[in-house]
Amino acid sequence: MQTRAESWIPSISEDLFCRHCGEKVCEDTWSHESDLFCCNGCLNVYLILSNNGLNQFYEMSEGVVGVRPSEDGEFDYLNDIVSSLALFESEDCVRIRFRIPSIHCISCVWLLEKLAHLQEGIRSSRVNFAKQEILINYDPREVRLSEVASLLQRLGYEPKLNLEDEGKEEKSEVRKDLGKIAMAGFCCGNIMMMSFPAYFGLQLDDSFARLFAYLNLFLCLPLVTYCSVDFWKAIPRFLNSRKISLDLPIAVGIGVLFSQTAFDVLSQSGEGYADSLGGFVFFLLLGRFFQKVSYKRLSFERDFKSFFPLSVRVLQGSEAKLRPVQEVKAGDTLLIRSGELLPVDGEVIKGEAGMDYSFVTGESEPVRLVAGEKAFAGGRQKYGLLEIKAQSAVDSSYLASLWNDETFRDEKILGEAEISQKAGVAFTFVVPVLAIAAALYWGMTTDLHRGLEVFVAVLIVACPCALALSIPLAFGFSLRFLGKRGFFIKNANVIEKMAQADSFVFDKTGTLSRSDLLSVKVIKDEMSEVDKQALFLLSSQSGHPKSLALQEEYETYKSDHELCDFSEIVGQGIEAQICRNHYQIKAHGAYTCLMKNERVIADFDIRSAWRKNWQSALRSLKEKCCVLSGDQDRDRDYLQREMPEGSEIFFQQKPHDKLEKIREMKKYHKSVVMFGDGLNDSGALKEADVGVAIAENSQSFTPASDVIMHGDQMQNLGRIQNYMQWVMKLIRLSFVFSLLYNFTGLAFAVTGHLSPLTSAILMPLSSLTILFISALGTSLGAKIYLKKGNEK
Amino acid sequence: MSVIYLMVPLAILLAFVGLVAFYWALRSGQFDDVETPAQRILFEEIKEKKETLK
Repeated sequence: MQTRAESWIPSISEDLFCRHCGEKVCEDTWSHESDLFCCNGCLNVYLILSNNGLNQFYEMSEGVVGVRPSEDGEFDYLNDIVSSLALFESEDCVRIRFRIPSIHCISCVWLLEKLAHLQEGIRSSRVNFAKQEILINYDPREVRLSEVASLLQRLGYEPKLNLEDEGKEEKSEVRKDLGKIAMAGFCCGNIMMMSFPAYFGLQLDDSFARLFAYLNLFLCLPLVTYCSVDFWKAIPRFLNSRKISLDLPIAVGIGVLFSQTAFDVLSQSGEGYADSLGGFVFFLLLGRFFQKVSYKRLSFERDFKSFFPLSVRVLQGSEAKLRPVQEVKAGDTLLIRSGELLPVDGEVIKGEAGMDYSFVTGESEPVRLVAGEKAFAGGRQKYGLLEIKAQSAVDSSYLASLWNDETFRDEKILGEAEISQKAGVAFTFVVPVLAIAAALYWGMTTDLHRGLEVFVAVLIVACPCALALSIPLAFGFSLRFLGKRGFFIKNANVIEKMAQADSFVFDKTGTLSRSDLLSVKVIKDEMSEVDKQALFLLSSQSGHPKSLALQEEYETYKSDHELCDFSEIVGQGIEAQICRNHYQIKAHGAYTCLMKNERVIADFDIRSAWRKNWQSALRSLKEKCCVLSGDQDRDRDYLQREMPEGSEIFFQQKPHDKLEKIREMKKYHKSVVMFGDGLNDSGALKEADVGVAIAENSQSFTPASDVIMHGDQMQNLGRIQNYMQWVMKLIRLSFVFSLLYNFTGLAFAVTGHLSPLTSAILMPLSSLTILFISALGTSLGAKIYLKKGNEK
Repeated sequence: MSVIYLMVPLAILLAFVGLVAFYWALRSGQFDDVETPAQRILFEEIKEKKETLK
């Protein structure tokens, strides 16, 4: 194994890399002894570590381990809200939990657990790698929360905080579920042990048989109470709102199994079905737990607040003070610096700036704002410094009003897939009819007691145990395969809905195109070498997205020309004197042009870059496609040409318009799938049958949705849908199998031959068959449809 | 054979002790994070190596 220490030392001709984060080192190098760094931040981390004897951080794992710290981070406001963030707070100890998305390797864990060495007052720190969380105990008399947070930030582990997470105590669902499974396993195992004599047909003393029977009955008690709580809930749900789910026949099955067992044991007429009951509950709980674990830790529920900063600068007299966002009132004067997000609606008092509303409206072109104009919450300040008078509190901004639309009030039913609901309905109606018919027949032909026995036997054997397992198993497995391909699903409904989707709606910016990448197309070029150098120099002066794109395009034309009289007129363009010529970059109709001494010498078409293979992906869906964009219609021709035939394209759609469009489409289509990335799509995402949020990387924020999809996967859409259809077929297949088992059992029951032994064999056998089918089927399907490397 | 009257409840009791132990582990949070401790165990080893090198 080659350690980092050897591999990074560069020979002179090669590129140089930062000792800490591995970035390429260009000019203005920061160095310490023989090590080079890309920035001051990285150098600082290195110094902190080496001064504290923690240098082995760099030797622990292969490859680059350091994280480059971000530039600014002010945490002073945290000191005011300690009590709302802390998990525990006393005079000499505060416990706090931070989410740190940049935790990525064993070295991170190691370093973060050594925080106590780095800062006095920190008592201990503990990392949860899977959740990317750190739990810190510190002494508030020695160190303040803001110092703890800024230490983390300086090390490159910027703590992520947002309003939503604040003080939210984690629910220990997993613990509860594991507890139930353990109890079910314990009871089930012991019941089986005591049923051995029956399995092997041993003749036991009456007294032994009775002992075993009573013990079995006793062990059934926790099974039907503590372990089956969730199943029982189906009964009041049915009585109150007539809602039928697969849980209902399961609850009935458990009830009947238990009553029959209790009756048999107490009346000493037999040994009952305790072993079937045990296996049944145990398998069901396992299946359910598996399904829950598959959904993992992705956060799908996000409202607009999670996009907002925790604090803003409020001007008090001449001083700017950080204040938590919730405390901003109408009338406060806010200072918004370049790059910051405006959390409330307001009026511009001072300054001139470009406000990027792409977050809210999807329009990628920044809007120019001057004093006196209104600015809306959700806008990102692109350049300049703005003073804004807040006109509302966070909760009553325009953005918040979008969230209060009624779509957001009625929650979609979670977890239960439609297909299982249908099965539940069928079982609830067919089984009692069959049971009564069989009971009547036997009651007529032999005697009443026999009839009752058969009635119970039918109810027991018709319990849809395998059926109930097939859905969580198939969905659970396929979630994993889809997750590996950057397609993360919130609930099981999605697979079913998307498999039968007949209408796909796309946002444009950030969805079909990439929001983080602009492409430059040269339309007219009359530039000399010197002009190109001037273009690079001029464009590198501004942070405007188009300037950045130009700068990247002409990166090779670096020069040491001098630039003077630079000025940037917000929303207009930039100009400067270079080599005694006057250069200007400004808008020129639909294009951006370079002017030399008031003459246009080059035109550029700068627009967002389209995603790879998006056209073929849309075609492969073979269904109706539609684009809803918040942008101006400058891309209409291109889209019309490239989209599959029969597609509809709408521009200048406000968030509410998008929502209405989806609502309308739902009337004519079976299932509508919406793809979007920004806040402006959030209404539509929620309204659609399936809302897919596009994320560039797993750390970026996405609006609330049913699915989070990695942007690169856009090109594989067709195959993802095919896979989902395959999974649905698989579920139907396992339905058939489980029904076969049910019918076999029914045949025994109706003819009056169901013994506890038959039932004890049939139930686990059917469950195992289903497990086999789902595991094998889903991975086979993934091999066929989701295979890596067969991208076109 | 009557020893079974003693053995069977005893066997269940033993299993029950195991169950209680599991619940104790569950409640003390041992199953909350199953990934990090697996990595943490490697830390000391690295440290010792360093010390012996000195």
